[in-house]
Amino acid sequence: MKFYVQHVVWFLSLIALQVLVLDSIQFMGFFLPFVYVYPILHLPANMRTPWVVLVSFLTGMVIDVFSNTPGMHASAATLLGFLRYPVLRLFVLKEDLGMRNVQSEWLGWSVYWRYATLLVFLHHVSLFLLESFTFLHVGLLLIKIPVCVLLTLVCIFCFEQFKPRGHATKF
Amino acid sequence: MQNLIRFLTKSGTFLLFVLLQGISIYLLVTGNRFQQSVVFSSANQVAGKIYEWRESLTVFFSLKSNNEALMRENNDLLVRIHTLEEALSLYSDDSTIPLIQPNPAESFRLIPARVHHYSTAHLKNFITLNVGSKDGVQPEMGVANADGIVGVVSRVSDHYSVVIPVINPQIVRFSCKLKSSNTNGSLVWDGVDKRFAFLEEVPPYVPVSKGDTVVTSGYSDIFPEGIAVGIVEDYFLGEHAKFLHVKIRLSVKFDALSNVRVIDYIHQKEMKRLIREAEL
Repeated sequence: MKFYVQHVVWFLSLIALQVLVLDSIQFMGFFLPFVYVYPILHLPANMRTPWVVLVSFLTGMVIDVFSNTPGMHASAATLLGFLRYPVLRLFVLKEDLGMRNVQSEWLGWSVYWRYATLLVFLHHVSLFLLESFTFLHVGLLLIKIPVCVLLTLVCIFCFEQFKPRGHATKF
Repeated sequence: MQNLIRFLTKSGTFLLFVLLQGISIYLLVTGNRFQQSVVFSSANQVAGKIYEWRESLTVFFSLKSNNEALMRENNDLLVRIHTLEEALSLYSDDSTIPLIQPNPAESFRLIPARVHHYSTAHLKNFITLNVGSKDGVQPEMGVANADGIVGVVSRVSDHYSVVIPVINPQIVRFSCKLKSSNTNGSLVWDGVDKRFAFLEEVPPYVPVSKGDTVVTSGYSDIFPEGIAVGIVEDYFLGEHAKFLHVKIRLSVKFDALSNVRVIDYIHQKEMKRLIREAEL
């Protein structure tokens, strides 16, 4: 039970952080991190992909409602949820996937970074492409994507580093 | 049938993914049009309440700058009252000239509003206001603050409304003019820098100089004439030298929005009806 509650708390608090704080604070004009991806990355390793996809979609939808961008975050987050399992399998053997959260304590920092960077990058690319559907500024995107990926990863590092100790890793 | 069920369970994840992507893309393509339902926007009750609550917490931090803005606006208004009174006194002194009566039918009404939430980091930026249809706000009304034009109302619920600011490429095109030469052009934002917008469709023979003021032209049915838009920063000839592109430094600071006014342009409906009749 505690296990589920912790995940719900992560989702709610990071969505709140995203829409209430980060959306109004921008770094140098137009860079901002998208921290709501963290709870999706953090879900248990063996959670069935349909559930991950559904949870990601709902998370994206909530963000969309608050930022008046119907479908944009939902689409990017759904893609993230769908690609999570294949990306995780790139780094982890199938037998090692258990009912435990995907986090740095378990995977080790180097593997965790590769996992997080790849997924965050894919999410941000799809997000920015969707955003600029018709108004494509390639130059701007080439700056915006890496900077925002970096900001998101810095935030993820903070969450990983400073999350409450004794955070349930096993069921 | 058996095969179908097996196929569905096997590729269920992918189908779910495609279905949810389909919903997302559908919303993305259709969702940002004018007068769409307010459910998927921050004008809905829940999001509106949450933003209202957040605003009530953060409003204290901007009290000083708000006060300064209000004082500046008050000053401007006092100056205007003074000049108008002087102008009026010229006429009222002489009893042989009839008093000029102010036009009894006012052409627009201002609805004061507070900004609950705004974004400037995205390509498609939005502003949420604390006024809605119960306060008389309707879609396609203009929004301005003491500095100049802010945007155009897009969606309205009972108590909240969403504004598409000038710094969103989806804003309806409306016409503005260079104050010095009275030349019209339409205002567009290129999605790069929130401080600058462009005035396009300006004929190339028009004399433009840096520092010229750009105001609304009054030709659109959204804004009355003469509201500040910005100041000419730069200008250059477009392709084939057909039009000038005029770069404008917007007078509204989109980083620090708090008090705005929704402009209920009462003549708007009449003008629209006339235009429709003329087009038939």
